[in-house]
Amino acid sequence: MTLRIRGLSAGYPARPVLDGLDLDVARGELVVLLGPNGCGKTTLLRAITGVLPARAAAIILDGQDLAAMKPRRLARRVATVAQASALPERFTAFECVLMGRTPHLSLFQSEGSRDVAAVRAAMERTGCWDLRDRLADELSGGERQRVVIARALAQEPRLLLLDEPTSHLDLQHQVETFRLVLDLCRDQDLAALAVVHDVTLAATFADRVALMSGGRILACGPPAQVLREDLLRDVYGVAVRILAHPVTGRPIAVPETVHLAAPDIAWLERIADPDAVLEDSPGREPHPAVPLPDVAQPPPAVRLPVQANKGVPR
Amino acid sequence: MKMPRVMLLVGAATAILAFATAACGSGDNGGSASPGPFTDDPTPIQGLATVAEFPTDIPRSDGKTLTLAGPPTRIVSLSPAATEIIYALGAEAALAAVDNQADFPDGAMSFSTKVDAYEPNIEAIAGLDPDLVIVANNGSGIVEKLDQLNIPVFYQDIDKDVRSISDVFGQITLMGRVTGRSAQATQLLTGLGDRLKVIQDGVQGANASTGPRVYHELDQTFFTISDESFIGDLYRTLRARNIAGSGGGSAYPQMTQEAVIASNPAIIILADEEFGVTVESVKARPGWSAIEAVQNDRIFGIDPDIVSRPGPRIIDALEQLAKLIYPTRFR
Amino acid sequence: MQLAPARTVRIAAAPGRAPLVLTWRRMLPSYALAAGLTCLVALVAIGWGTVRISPLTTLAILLDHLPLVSTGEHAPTYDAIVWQVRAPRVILAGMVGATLAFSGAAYQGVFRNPLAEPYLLGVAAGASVGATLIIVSPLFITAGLLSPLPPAAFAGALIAVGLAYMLARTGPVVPATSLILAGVAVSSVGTSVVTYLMLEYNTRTLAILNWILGGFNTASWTDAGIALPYMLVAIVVILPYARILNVMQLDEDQARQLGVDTERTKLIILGAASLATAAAVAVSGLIGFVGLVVPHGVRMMYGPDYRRVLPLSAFFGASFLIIADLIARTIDPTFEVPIGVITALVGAPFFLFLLRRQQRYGGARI
Repeated sequence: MTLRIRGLSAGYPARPVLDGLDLDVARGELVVLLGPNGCGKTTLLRAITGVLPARAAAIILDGQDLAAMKPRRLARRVATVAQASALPERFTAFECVLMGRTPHLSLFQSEGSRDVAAVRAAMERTGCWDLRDRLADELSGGERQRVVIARALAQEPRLLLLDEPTSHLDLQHQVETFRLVLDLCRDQDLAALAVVHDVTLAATFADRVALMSGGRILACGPPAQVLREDLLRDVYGVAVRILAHPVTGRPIAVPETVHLAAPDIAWLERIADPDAVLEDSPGREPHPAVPLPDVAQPPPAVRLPVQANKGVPR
Repeated sequence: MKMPRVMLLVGAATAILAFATAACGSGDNGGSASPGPFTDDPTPIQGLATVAEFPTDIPRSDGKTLTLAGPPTRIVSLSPAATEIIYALGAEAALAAVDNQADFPDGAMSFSTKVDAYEPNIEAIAGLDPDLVIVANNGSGIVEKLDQLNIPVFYQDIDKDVRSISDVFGQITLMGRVTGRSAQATQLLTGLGDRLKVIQDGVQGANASTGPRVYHELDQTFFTISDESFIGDLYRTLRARNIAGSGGGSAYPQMTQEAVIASNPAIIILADEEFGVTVESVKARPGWSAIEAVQNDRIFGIDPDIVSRPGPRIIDALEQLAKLIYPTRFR
Repeated sequence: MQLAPARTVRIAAAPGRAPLVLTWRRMLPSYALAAGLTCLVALVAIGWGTVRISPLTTLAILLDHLPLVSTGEHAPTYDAIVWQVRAPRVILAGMVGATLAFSGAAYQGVFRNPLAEPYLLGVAAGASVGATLIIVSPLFITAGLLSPLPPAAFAGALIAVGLAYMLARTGPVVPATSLILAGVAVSSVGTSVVTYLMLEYNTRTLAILNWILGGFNTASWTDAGIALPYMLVAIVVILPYARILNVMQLDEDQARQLGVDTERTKLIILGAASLATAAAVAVSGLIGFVGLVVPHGVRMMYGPDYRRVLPLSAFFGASFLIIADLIARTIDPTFEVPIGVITALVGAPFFLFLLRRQQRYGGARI
């Protein structure tokens, strides 16, 4: 076991967000935290890094108590990748990754060749070495996230925490990011704990899924065991149908058929017409919440790569 | 923090204007805008109007005209200098209020009703039901407010229109007309004119282009007076050379310390002793030991009120300065 | 499900040289250049003034005042002007400019706000209250050479900043936004107090105003001596944090997760910068624009790395204020122009020039 959390409580005295939570994450393993908004997923990550003070907790990493650790020491062991992490203006990507070396440097030290080597390794590993001279604020979302992951790697951590690392990324970058994280876990023997909202994405990449609710872990284990329709309905309060991936057999979560009103085509045409005078609409109710794009344009054809030279994760 | 500092600076600008008023007292002027040097020609005194006639029209500094049907009986004076003139004319019975800086003569000092001339409170002034308000500085826009209320305003701007001793005398003449005491004004001016004549005669023969260089200090950051101000006219009358000259067009310029030292004044007059400046502290200023006035111990304090208020005591100031500058000629 | 081949791997294969890492040693040449420039500006400023004194004479007089050097006799007036008036004035202007720009850069770094300036937390208003209280009190009159004004202004500034810090504090944390708001609130109160005192003691209005408007007309070696220790302390304390300030440009959470003790860093940097600013304000009054414009100019020319921004801000701040003061005292050879007018007149167009240049280069470093 690398990370062992026992009886972790955190939050406000009147309203504990985490309530005696237990969780283990092993080396080389990607554990994904799933759960509805406000169940304490982000709080858990912040409590592990000590940004948020935790109460009555044992947070042990490689036999050492993280809660008792000074921030700088802790940052040499634990790195965090937040969702859409902002990068400072006018610093180059290289300089941003170099900031990952901060916990390894004392106040009066400057970065040396050892640090440059670590940065280069991290950037090459995450495929952003070519971006090194680009300004961080000019990078695309996907590029920026790779730089942020490289910065986390430059910390040379044992534990990688990811807080919705792909929530602002398109499908390709979502997949690439998790592919990368999983590879890192395997190659560098990292333990990774990621907060993810997309149940299917979690099921695709996670070694284990921890389903959180009300400040506790409700179930933890391989995706196929945890992602059960009854559990998900209890946790999310919505009916979910679990399908099996046709190739990997991993779970795919889709909402149970929801009754949707038939789209009102006439109304859609009118709001699309710039000349239409909407005020004339005689007391029309707003259109029921239907995802409009689904109606306006057909979903793009799914293109699956014919050949993949790397196997799908287990 | 941006905002408050901007506010401070704006306030600063206003207050500098207001300071000019405070430092120079107040005064009024019959429209003689030319500050030309006061000459030996005593015509301004002889030519004074001797008829007190109402209705009378008095020009104001803003180009408007004040018309008075009869002598006012409830005057609010926002100018310490005007207050001094009114007392000197014996018209103090017509005063309803003076400003809170008025401290001369004793009657003004202990006057029961005082108003703030620096930030005039229009309600407080209107509440006194005045039939004339004397304004010497309109930095606060008080003149327009009073006009709106149809309260007669005697507005003579001391910065624009009082730039010489003869301008001060003109103010006295005007005040005599306003209060219906032109005879007293003539009498007062005759006395002042005689004393002025004594000084002028005393400096006769002194060459104005080689006269002693004088530095007149208003405060410890080297604000001074220039030839454009009526204080400058005192030194001109004494044939002394004010080191600030024409002040770059400003009546109250700030000199660089270097320029003060470089112009090597023979006499230093301190009008800022109330700010803690002393003869000793001036002597101790770094670099000032090279100045003639410091080497020869010719640093003197003067009561800033008599020298900076364009009222009757301006001749007192002139006499004092004459004794300080020419200790052998005047005793 | 099949995955696209990781595009990332292909990119990583490209060979490349690592960019140079900025270390203190690598930056020495730019510091030396800036320091040299500042010295040159100072020398020119000392040699220039109402009285025309040849550069050689000026230099001779200056050297004469160095220990163990004698360059013969000089006219006492020239000696007084060069050594007692101009030299302390130029040196003090340089010190105050350096302090304001350096502190401004530090404030901007801590608050991650380009509009932050060293007066943000109430230094200016606090100092004004302190100075004004002295000016309206009997102390003002009885004081001789050792004026109680600088210590009072200094104390007022520190009290204001301390007050803002305490008001913003919530438990162990002092959020930057609360700090700015508290600073604005404290400043407003201070400004009202000063305004009230100015109106209440209207015979002293000019003295108060003169102090607030600031300037170096009365600069002496004593003033320079008063301000020097605080300036040095601030530089010595803040400079090692330059690299940490870079990291602080990430949001506070990220900085903390990189092991930066953000609360302590904020306290130390703001404390030291406020201390130095308070000392500068105490001896020179409120001089605007330097703390805002100079760090920006440096950033636009040399990039955002605080290891460059901090020292170069100090040097360029010094040069900037020396030049502004030179203009203030020589634009009319005899009379002063308020230095705040000059800093704004020189600073604003220069700032716009840099801004436009930066826009033209699309935000790249120039």
